[in-house]
Amino acid sequence: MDEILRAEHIVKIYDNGVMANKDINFAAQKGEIHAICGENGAGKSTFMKMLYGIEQPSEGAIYVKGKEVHLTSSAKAIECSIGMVHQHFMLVPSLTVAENVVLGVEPQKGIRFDKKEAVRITEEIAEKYNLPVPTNEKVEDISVGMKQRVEIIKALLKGAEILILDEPTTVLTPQETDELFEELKHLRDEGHTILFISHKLYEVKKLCDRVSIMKNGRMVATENISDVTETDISRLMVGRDVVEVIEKTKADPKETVLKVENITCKNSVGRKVLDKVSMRVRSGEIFGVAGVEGNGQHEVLEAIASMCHVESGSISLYDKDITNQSIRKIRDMGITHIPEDRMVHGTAKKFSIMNNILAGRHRAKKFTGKVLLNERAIAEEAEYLIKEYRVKCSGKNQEIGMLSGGNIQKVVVAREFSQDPKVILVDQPSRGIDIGAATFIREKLVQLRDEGKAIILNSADLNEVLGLSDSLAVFYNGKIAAYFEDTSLLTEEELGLYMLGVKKMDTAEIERRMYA
Amino acid sequence: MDNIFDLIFSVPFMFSVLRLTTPILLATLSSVISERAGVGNITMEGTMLISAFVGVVVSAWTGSAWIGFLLAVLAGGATGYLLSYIIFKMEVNEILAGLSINLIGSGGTVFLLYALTGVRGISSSLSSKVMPAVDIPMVKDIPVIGEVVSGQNVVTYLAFISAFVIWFLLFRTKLGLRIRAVGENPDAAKSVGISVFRTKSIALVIAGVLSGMGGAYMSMGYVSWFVKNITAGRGWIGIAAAAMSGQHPILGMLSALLFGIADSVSNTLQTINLPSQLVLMIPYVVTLIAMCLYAWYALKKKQNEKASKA
Amino acid sequence: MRKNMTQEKLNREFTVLRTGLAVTIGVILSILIILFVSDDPLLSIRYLVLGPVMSFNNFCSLLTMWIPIVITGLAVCVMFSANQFNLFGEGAFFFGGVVAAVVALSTNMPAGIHPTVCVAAAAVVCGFIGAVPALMRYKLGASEMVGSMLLNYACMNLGLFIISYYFRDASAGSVVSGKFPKTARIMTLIPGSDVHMGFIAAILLVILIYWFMYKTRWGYEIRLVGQNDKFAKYAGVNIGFVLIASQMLGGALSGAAGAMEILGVYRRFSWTGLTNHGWDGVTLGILAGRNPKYIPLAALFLAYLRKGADLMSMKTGMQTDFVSVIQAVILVFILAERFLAKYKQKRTCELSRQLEADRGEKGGISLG
Repeated sequence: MDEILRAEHIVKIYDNGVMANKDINFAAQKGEIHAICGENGAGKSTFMKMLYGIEQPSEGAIYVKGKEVHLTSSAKAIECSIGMVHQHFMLVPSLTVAENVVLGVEPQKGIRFDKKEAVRITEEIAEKYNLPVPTNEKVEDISVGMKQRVEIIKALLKGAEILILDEPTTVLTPQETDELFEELKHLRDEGHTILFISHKLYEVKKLCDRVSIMKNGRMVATENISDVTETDISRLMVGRDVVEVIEKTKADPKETVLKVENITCKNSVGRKVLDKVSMRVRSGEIFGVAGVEGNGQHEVLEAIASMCHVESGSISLYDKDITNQSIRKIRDMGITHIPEDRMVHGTAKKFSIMNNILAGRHRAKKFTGKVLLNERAIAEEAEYLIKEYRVKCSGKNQEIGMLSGGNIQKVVVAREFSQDPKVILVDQPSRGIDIGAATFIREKLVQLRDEGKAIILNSADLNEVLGLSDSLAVFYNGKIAAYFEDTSLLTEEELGLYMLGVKKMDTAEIERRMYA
Repeated sequence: MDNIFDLIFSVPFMFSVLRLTTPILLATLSSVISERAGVGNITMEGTMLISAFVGVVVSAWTGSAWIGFLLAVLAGGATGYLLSYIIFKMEVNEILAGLSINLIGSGGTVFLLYALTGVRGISSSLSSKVMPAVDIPMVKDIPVIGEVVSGQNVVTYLAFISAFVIWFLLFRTKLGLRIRAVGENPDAAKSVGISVFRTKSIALVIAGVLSGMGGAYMSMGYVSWFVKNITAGRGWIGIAAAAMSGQHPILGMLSALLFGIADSVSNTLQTINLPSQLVLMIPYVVTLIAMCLYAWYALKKKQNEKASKA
Repeated sequence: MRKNMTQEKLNREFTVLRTGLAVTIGVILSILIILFVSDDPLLSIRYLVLGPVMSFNNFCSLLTMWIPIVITGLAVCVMFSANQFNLFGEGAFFFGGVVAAVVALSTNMPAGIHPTVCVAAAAVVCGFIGAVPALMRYKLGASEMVGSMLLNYACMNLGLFIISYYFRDASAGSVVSGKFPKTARIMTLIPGSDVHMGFIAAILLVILIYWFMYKTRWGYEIRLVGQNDKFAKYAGVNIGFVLIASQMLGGALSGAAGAMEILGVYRRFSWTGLTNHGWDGVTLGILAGRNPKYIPLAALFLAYLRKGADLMSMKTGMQTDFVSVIQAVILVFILAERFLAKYKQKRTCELSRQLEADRGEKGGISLG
C-alpha cells in the first residue's frame, strides 16, 4: 500500500502555554481505516486540527503523497484532498442540504447562485457513494445521522481522499452507527483513507485496520488491529489498567434526608425529561444515578438544585418542602452541587481562586459583615482549602482559568464540600480530568459519606458510578428503570442492560426495593 | 385637531415621509447585512457622519455633487473595512470597536472640517453641492401618488432600490449564501475553505457603503450643509428598525418607513404650535416603544413555539 | 507551580505594556496631527503638553474638568462590570443637570442642603431611567445598547423642553434657564477658580465605589454576574435584581455627576445638547479596565489632554475635537487582543518549552 499522509516531529504549543502535542510522528496508508485513540486531553483533537489546517504546528512537518504541505487554513487542507467531519457539525442550519453541500464551491448562473445545479451535484455524489440525502430540506429539520452523511458528502465533493472523523458515533443511534460503518468501509474499498478518532474501543476493533494511540500529547504506539486486544489498547491509552478499584467500606445509611416524589420536568423545547420520578436518599450513602446521556439522571440533580423548574410533584429535605425554591434558599438549606460543566456553571474563568471559592456563600455570616466582606476569613478559607484539596496553583489570587482541568475541578469540589452540606449533588465529578485529581475527589466523596452526608452521584463513567455508589438508580427515558440497594452485587453488563432499556423493573419492584 | 389631521394626511406629509425614511432605511439595510454576516455593527451613526462630512467637503472642492457623493460612499465603505480590520485583525470586541468608530465619526469630522476648511461646527460657508431631485416620467402625472413618489431626491430612490438589491444579494447570490453561512455558523464556513474574514469584511464594506449613502443624503439632500452630529441618532434608529424586521431587507424597509412616519409627524407638528423639543422626542420614543413591543412579541412567539413542540 | 506564576506575571506585564503603549501612540498621534494642521506647531504642542500646568488657573480648570468624568467613569465601571453595554451615561449626565436645575430653581432651602437635595434628586431620577435599558434586556431580550442610545436622545429633548418651556429666562438672548439661587450652587473649593466641592465628592465616590465593587457582597455579585451569569445563577444570585440595580446605580452616578457639574460650574442651565461626559466615562471605564481604583488616573490623563487641547485652541486656533480621535485610537489599541500578541506568544512559547525541559518526563503536564 502507498503512504498517503505523514507527519513528522509535530509540536504544538498554544498561546496559553499548554503544550498539547509533543513530537508526534504519524503515517497513514492509502485505503485504510486508521483509528486514533486516546483519553480526553491526550491531544488527539489538536493533532487533527493541525491536519485540517485549523491550527498550525509550532514545529514539525506534514507530508501528503510524499510532498511537504503547509496547511495554513482549511482551504489548504481541502486542496491537499483532506476532509474532516467534526464532532460538532459544521453545517448551517437554515440552509438546505444542497446549499450546505456546495458551500465553498457554489455553482453560479450569471450572478445568481444556481440552486438547481447545487441539487444535481449533491444527488450525483450521493448516488456515486450510495449516501442518499434529502437535498431540498433545511438542515435544521433533518436527523443527526443524516447530518453526518451530509458532512461526508461535503468532504467528498471537495475531492477528499483522506477523511478525518472526530468521534463520529457519540451522537448516533446503534443503527445509525452500523450504517455509518458500512458507508465508511465502502469508501475505504474505493481507495479513501479514513482517520477514525474514537475512544470506544469495540468500535475501533470492529471497524479499523490499524490503530495509533496517543497519551499525554505523544503518539505512543501504532499497531495492526489484528495484533492487539481492547485491553492492550486501553493499557496504552492510560498507562495502567482502566479498571481501578475504588476502596471503601460498606455504607451504613441512616435516616432519609431527601425525598423526591413524582416529579416531572420539561426541557427548554418542552420535552419531558423527567417523568414522575420518585426516590429517597439517606444520610451516609452515595446514591448513584446511572443512564445513557439524556435519560434524566442529570436532570434529576438539576431539579433538586432548583436549576430547572419542576412541573409537578415535590422535593423535600427533612420533610420540608423545597420544590421550586430559589437557588439561594436551596443552598442556604444545605444542598450543594458539583455542576456537570465546571466552566459553564462552576467557575468564573477570570476570577481568582479565592473569588471562585466565595461564590454561593458570599452572604454567609462567616464571610461578610453587614456591609463589608470579611476579607481575612475569605483568604484564610481559600488558603485552607487550597492546601486541604492540594490544588496546584501559585496562590489564592491566581486566575482560575489558568489552572488545569483537574485543579479547577478541585477548587469547585472544595467549595461545595466545605460548606457543611446535608446533601451533595455530584454531577460528572471526574469528567476530563487527570487520574490523580479524580482519585482524590473520589476518596473525598467516600470520606464525606462516612461523615453522614447524603450524596447523589451522576457519572458517565460506569466504572466510577458502579465503584463509588452504595445504592443505584438506573434512569431510562426520564423514568427510574431499576434500583439496586447494594451495588457490589451488580455487574457492568447487567447495568448496561437496564441503561439501554433492554431490561426494566416494574414500579412496584422498585418501590419494594427502595423502601424495604 | 382637525388641523393636525389635515397636515398629516396631506401630500407634503407623505412626501416628507419618504424623504425622512431615506437615511433611516439606509442605516437599517446596513444593519441588516451586518447582522446577517454575524457582526453586531453599531457604527451606522459614525459612518454616516463621516460620509456626510466627506460629501460636503469634496463636492465643495470639486464643484460636483456626484463626485462628492461617490467619495462619501467610498468613505463609508472604507470605514466598514476599517471596522472589520479592527474587529478581526486586531481582535477588538465588536461593540467597543464600534464605539471607537463612532467617536472618530463625531469628533474627527468636526476637527477635520476645521483643519481642512478653517470653519467650525457648521459648513454653511462652503458652497457644497446637493444631489438632484428626479421627476419620474409617467408616474409624476398620476395624481397624489405622482406628487408623493416623483420629485424625490435621487438618493431616496437609490435607498429604496437598495432594499431590493440587498434582498437579491442575500438570498439569490453566492455571496449572499456565504454571508449568511458565515453569520450563522462561521466554523462551518471556515471548514469548507471560505475565508470568514473576507466574507465578513465584504459584508461590512457593503454596510459601510449603505451607511455612507445615508450620510451623504443627510448633508447633500436632506439639508445642504454639514453640522456637528447631523445624523441625530438616525443610525441607532436604523439598528432598531433592522432588529424589528428580523434582519430582513424588505421587512426592514417597512419598519424604516414606520420610523420615517414618526419623524415626519414630529416635523409636521413643529410647524403648528407644539413645543418643538417635545415633538422631537417622538421618533426616539416611538422607536423605543416599538423595539420593546417587537422584543416582547418575539419572546412570546418563541414561547409558543416551544409549547407547540411539547 | 512555577509555570503558572510566571505566566501570570507575563500576562500582567503585557496588560501594563499594552496600556502604556496605547497611550503613547495616542500622544504621538496628537503631536503628529498638530504638526500637520497647526500654523504654529511648536506653540501648539507646547500648550498641549505643558498648558495645563503652566499656570495655577489652568491647573484649577484641569481639576474642574476632572470632577465630572471621574464620576461618569465610575458609573461605567459599575454598569459594564455587570456585562451590560449600557450607554445611558451620556443622557443621564444631561438629564441630571436638568433635574438639578429644576429643583434648584423651584425650591428654597438653606445653602449646603439645597445643592445636596438637587444632586440627590438628579441621582434618583436618572437611576430610575437607567433601569429601563436593563429591564429591556432582562425582560425582553432587546439590545440594551440601542435602547440606551435612543433614551439619550429622548432625554436630551425632554430636558431641553422642560428648560425652555418652564424655566427659560425670557430676558436672555439664547435658550437658558434663569439664574440659580445662590443657595443652590455648590460651594467653591479653591477660591478664585471653578473647582467646587464636587472634587471632594468625586474622591469620596472613587473610594466608595471601589469598596462597593470589591469589598462588599453586592459588588461581588455584580462582578460575578458580569463574569459568568450562569455561574452566578448557580451560586444563588438573583440575576435580574443585580442587573437592574447595577444599571440604576450607574444611571444615578451619571445623573449626580451632571447635577454637580451644572450647580458647581454654571450659573444657569445653558447646555444646548449632549455634553460628551458620558462618552468620556466609557473611555475611562475601558482605560481603567472597569476597576474604579484606576479611574482617577485615567481621568487625569483625559482631562489633561482635553485641557491642553482647549488651551492650544485658545492660543493658536486649533480645533479641540481631535481629542475624540485620539480617544478612539487609544481605546482600539488597549482593546486589541492582537496588539503585541506575536511578541507575547513568542515569550509564552519560550517559557513553556523551558519548563517542559525542566520537568522532563516525570509528572507530565495536565492539559486544561
